[in-house]
Amino acid sequence: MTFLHSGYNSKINLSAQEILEISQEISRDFTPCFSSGTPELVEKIRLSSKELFDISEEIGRDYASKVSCTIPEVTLLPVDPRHIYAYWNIGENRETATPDNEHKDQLTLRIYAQPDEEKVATETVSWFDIAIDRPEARQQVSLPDPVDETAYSAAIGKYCADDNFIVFAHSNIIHAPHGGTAWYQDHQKSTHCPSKNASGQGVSK
Amino acid sequence: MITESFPRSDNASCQQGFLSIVLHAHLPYVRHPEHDSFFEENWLFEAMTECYLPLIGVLDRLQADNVNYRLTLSLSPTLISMLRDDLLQTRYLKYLRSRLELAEKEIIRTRKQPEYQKLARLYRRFFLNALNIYQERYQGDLLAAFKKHQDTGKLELITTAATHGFLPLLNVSETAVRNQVNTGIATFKANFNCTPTGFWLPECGYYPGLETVLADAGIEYFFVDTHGIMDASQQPRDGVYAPIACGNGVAAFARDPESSRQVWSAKEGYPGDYDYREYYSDIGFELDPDYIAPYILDGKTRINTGIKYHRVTGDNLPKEIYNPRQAKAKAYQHAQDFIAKRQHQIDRLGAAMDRPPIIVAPYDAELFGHWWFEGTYWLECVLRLASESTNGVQLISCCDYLKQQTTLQIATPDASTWGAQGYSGYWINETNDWIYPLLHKAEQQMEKLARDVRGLGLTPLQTRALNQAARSILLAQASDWAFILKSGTTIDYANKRITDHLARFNYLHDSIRKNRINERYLTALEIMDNIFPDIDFRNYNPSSVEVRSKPARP
Repeated sequence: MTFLHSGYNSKINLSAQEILEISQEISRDFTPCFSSGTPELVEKIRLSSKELFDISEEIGRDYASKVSCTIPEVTLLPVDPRHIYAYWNIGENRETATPDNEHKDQLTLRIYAQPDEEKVATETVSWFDIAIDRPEARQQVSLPDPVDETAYSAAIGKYCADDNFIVFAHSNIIHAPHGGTAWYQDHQKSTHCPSKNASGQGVSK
Repeated sequence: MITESFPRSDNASCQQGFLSIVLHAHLPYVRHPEHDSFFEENWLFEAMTECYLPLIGVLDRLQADNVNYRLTLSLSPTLISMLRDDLLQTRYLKYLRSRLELAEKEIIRTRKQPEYQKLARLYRRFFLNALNIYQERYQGDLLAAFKKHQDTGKLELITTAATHGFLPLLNVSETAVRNQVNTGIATFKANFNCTPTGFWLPECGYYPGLETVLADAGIEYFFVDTHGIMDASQQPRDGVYAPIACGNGVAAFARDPESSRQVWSAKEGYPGDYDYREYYSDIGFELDPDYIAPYILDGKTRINTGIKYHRVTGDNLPKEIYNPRQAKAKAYQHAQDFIAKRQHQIDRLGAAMDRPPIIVAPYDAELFGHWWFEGTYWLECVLRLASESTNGVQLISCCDYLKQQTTLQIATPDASTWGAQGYSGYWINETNDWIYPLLHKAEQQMEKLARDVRGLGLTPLQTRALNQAARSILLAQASDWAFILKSGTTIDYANKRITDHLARFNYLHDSIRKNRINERYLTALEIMDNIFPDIDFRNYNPSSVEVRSKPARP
């Protein structure tokens, strides 16, 4: 005998809305899940999706990252055979150049190039300066052509009135790729597909 | 020429030439329990439906037919984690059932358009088949399916960096790189009970010195783009058709440009053939909004549904209806063409080489089936054709190729990636450069924190908070965010992911430093970012990490 044939006659009347809500609640709480080897989460604290969302938003709002540093620093990153990338922080109380003091106190990025890092600070080191005239504390640097050095370092500092270069910070040493020139030119028409990455999943152009 | 000895297995056979097909399967960690449903989780569901499940179908059929194929599949740790995740598995079933429901509605809607209805029925069968493989055959565990095929010795599984961090730009800190590499390998081991011999460098991003980190992690080979080998420290004697030894027991294989172009090239590549299904023609964008509302985003924003009725057709022509039989025939032709061209290459190369050449053909896995609908069938045809004994092209895994070589030329590859223009420019430019000072600073703070707590007796709560901080760092480092910011697809989402993960790190860092850890908040972060359950924050203190030596070769 099935439940329907049992003659059970409930005295509880439920509206369509109530039935829907019960159905949704059961569906939400009792939908079968695959069991897997994922780590067990903390059992004693249960959080709804709304609570998770609120905590996520609160942390995102109150703890947003800022680039602030009291210690001057400069970092180099390799880009390609013809470019490197620098970002820096000059610390506190060291303002960048303004039109009034353009030629003195000019914030400058000095790029050192050397055949290899073993020879840093020897007489073989050459360098060139880039005057910093933009508010962003980062920029791409074009390397001199032809590129025959592969190791680079940098210093961030200022030129003073007496033309002395005062260094605030020295960077890490990086190697730019050698980059066979013939290949580099040919590569433009090669096999790379800019939209190939799976990160574009589900996104229509 | 300096060479490095590699042990040769006894059963090595001398063949005319080898082809190694490598698929790299990766998606960023898209899991949002803080929402009842979330659009970007569809990236995973679409890839599962259109790529991973059909690929498993291919492997199952090859096994049933006893085809002696070889294939390498790289599974990223983020993808591995998502495929094993309860929440995503449950949500995937819901997604698949909704596709099935839509296909059934389409059969009714197209009842007066027989050609369209035929396709609607095809989609219904397609989704039913996916459901059957997923639920019935593998009980929702796709990793078990891949493991099963790995155990046959025909499928080689490898992995990549933990969250697909772009290593050349994380290399400001070697600890950051080591944690990406080691956490990735640990995740693989935890899920497959074995150590990968190969490693997929995210975006093929290599810099000289990275081979040391890989060797320390027990890796035997990795891949670089063509110019990584062609511009190596020594001119490669065999071009890109033999690996080079980095001098520390690790070998580098290069991508073959010819086979890449045939598949990747937007102009010359197979996927652009006029007979193939058009990816950008989807009923999510074409049908009446009221009708399609239940299957698009929030009932309003049009998105792909996976049901597409048209073929590529041709430039500036009205799209014609898709003909699956014609498309399949074309895929078979393209597979024959691919093998014939490899044979040609091998004939040409063999004459000038003292060893069998190896053609390495790596692709993003998601190209097959998702972007190129017929791609999985093409792959199946290629694997079947190449395994026929009449063919001079023999399939091989890079691991097995190394076993057959007694010596390799020693050189150091040049820094390179497989991105546009071949270097790091796609991941650092005016659209995404702002992320690097923040990522590097957070990494620095994490390392300092790990150093500062060394030797202190930590409570379980503090340990949990420290481990969660490490998870936040790794998730922020994913190469996908920089890529999306440059490609301009879902910029807001990429922005939010980076800033959220960094904010979560900042919050945890602050809580730990002040010893005011709110367990409720920590639990929320553990629930939201539940990846890498075995992570150990102590690995961020380089002085406490014992660098494991690579096991000696037998």
